[in-house]
Amino acid sequence: MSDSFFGFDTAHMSDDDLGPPDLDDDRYNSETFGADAGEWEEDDHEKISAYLERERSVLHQLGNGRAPLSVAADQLPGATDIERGLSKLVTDDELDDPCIMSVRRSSRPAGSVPIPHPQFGRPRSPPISSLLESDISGSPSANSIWSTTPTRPANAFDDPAIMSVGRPRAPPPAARLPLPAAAKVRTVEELEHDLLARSPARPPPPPGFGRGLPPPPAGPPPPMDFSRPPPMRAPPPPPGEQFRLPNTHLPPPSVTSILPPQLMNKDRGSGGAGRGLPAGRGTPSHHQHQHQHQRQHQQPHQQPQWRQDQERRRQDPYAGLMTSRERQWLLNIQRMQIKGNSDYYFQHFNSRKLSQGRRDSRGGHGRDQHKDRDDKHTDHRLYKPPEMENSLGKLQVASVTAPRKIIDLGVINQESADGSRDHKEAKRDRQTLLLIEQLYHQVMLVEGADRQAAGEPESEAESAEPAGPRLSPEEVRAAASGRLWSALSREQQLVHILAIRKGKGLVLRCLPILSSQQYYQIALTLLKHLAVVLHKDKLDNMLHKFFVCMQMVVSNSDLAQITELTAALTASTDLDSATPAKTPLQLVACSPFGVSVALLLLLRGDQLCQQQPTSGAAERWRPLAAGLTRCLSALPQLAPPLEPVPAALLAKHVPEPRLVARLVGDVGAT
Amino acid sequence: MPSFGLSGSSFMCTQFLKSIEGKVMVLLRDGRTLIGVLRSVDQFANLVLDRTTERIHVGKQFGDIYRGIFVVRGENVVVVGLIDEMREGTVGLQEVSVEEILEAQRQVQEARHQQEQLRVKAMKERGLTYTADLGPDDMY
Repeated sequence: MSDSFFGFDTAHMSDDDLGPPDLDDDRYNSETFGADAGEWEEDDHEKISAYLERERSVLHQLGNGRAPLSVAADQLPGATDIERGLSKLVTDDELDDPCIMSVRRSSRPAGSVPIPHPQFGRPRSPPISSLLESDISGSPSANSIWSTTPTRPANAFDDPAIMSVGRPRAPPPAARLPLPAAAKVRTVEELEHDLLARSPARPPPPPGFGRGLPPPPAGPPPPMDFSRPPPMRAPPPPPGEQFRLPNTHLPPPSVTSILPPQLMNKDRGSGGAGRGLPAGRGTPSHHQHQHQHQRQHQQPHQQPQWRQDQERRRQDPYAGLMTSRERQWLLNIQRMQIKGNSDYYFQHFNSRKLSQGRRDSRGGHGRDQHKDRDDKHTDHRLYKPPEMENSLGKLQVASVTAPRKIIDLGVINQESADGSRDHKEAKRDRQTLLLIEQLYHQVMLVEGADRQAAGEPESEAESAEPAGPRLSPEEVRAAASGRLWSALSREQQLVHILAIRKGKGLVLRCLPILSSQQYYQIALTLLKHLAVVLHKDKLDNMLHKFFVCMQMVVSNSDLAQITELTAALTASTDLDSATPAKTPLQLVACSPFGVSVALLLLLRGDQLCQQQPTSGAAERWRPLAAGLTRCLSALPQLAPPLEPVPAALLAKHVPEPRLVARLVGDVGAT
Repeated sequence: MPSFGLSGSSFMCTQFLKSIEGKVMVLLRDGRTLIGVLRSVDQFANLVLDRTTERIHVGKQFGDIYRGIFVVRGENVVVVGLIDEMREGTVGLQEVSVEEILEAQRQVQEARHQQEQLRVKAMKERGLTYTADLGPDDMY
């Protein structure tokens, strides 16, 4: 900062003519805050606030009629000098300041607000250093727009209300520069009064540091024509307070420019500067008074309302922290929250109000039940309990809104559209599963017994089992396998067991336990119901494990048994059917297991047959075999066998060359 | 949203905003009672209270400790209520000095503490461990 008398760099001032400055010309701001404002040190904040505090205390005491403290303007550095300089300063300042110029020059049309003047872009804030030295103490001679003593026309003192306040009275400033727009300006008393009336707790603080726009007066919805962003709060309370205190009912001249335009309009109509305060107590403010009365009923009304407000404001430096803009913003947020229908409390509040309203309109007390029913009904609709069925093992992802959201593909529902039948099936499946569990237990008992007999040490699980009367392993084995077989020997039950994956595993596991005869029985049952079992095996794919078992059975069987087995396989099929594709045999032939079993039987049967060509069994065998072969060859689809069969063997035993060719072809492919 | 809902919502919203600049009583989660002028709120119910006094109630007596400006985080607020200053004097509570009320509070807390000790002891004798769900720092 250049060491000029004014305390700020006047270098830029020189080229400032009366024309409107550039929109890009930001020099004031840069001077205040930017590179040129190098003087804005950290101390300055403290200096200002300390200064202002001192002023506040001085004025407070002055206002209370006490002798002012020694902390007065005398302590300020070069106070007299400053005063002198200020009288000069003000003039230049006004010349330079576009805001003032605009106030002077422009005839203020209705509804326009001098600050912010669009022509000038961002409104100017006073240079910081000038504020430091500017007239804050309320010297009447200062007439800067930033000073706090406003123009006070003489007739202001006629108002008894003002006279009763022991404020320092500034003589009518005759030295005031003529403001052409003064005629349009109401008396400051009127303005101030309206302000107070509108917002008792929130007089607009004049432009503070860095605050280009003073915030609009807050209060119940005054129709503000202009909307501004919520102002920055550079040190708000101290400057606000110090500005307020000396002028509790005389707002600084800057306030004139920030008043809502409608206020200006209305009151201009009542005749500007000539009117005293009573004119200002017009209708617009009257209902505000009433509104305030609702809230401020605590004091007896010895004093007029605005007087009380001023008192409060004097004591209340933090009043008006929340602007109407901020309140509106908060309201909007709350409305948004409610609009989304997600607010549980508001929903219930609403529904209760509605039902109350309904109840009131219809009358009578019998509506309580109706209301309850309504509530329950809505509750049912709204509340959807989480559905966990079939969810075990499904892939889940957790989010805030849905902690157990299932993202797996659609639940594979075994139940088809056929309701009751599948219910029974499902029920039967569950029962079979339980049975399987019990049979597993038996299997384990048997296996344990076998291990014991083999001399292996008992496992913990086995020893933990309460045996009761301690049975020998053989007894245990016998008992268990007996139970096992009793269950498996029942044909239908076995089929059910084989239809379930776990059941197939069970049967495979207990095959070593069973006798060969029991084996055979099982094989027989399996072949008899092969189509059904194959159908159920589509998803499980476990039947091929039975092939070894079948091989054993077949190799241990005589021709009669083989015939029986083949008969079982073809039992449900009309081997001479014209449409072999529609026979159950097609299903068998579609699976490798089925084909392999069929081949096994055919080969073995033929082998045995050739060994005993004249036996009765052979007689029974041959047509059966022929029929099977014929049917198989006629089938459109033939799956490859599980194990490749040598072509020579095939050719030897299977008389049907087409079938052989197909099987060989398949075999060749495998 | 039906129009009723909107007017209802604004009704509910503005009611609270009307307490701004009014004297309110705030109950905090740790059991403290603050009385002050509500200056500012936000959507989290953070509060700015001016000229706050912390009021300690013990029985029919209370004591005020002046605290100045408070900024309260919304999550710690249990209830905020506008004080009817007309009826404030008719509540029937007796104001005492801060020392007195603090002493009374200390006694009450001691008694409560002893109760807790007894409870813990009794539980222990029965083979159970007792831990209070809510401590003195979070009573709600």
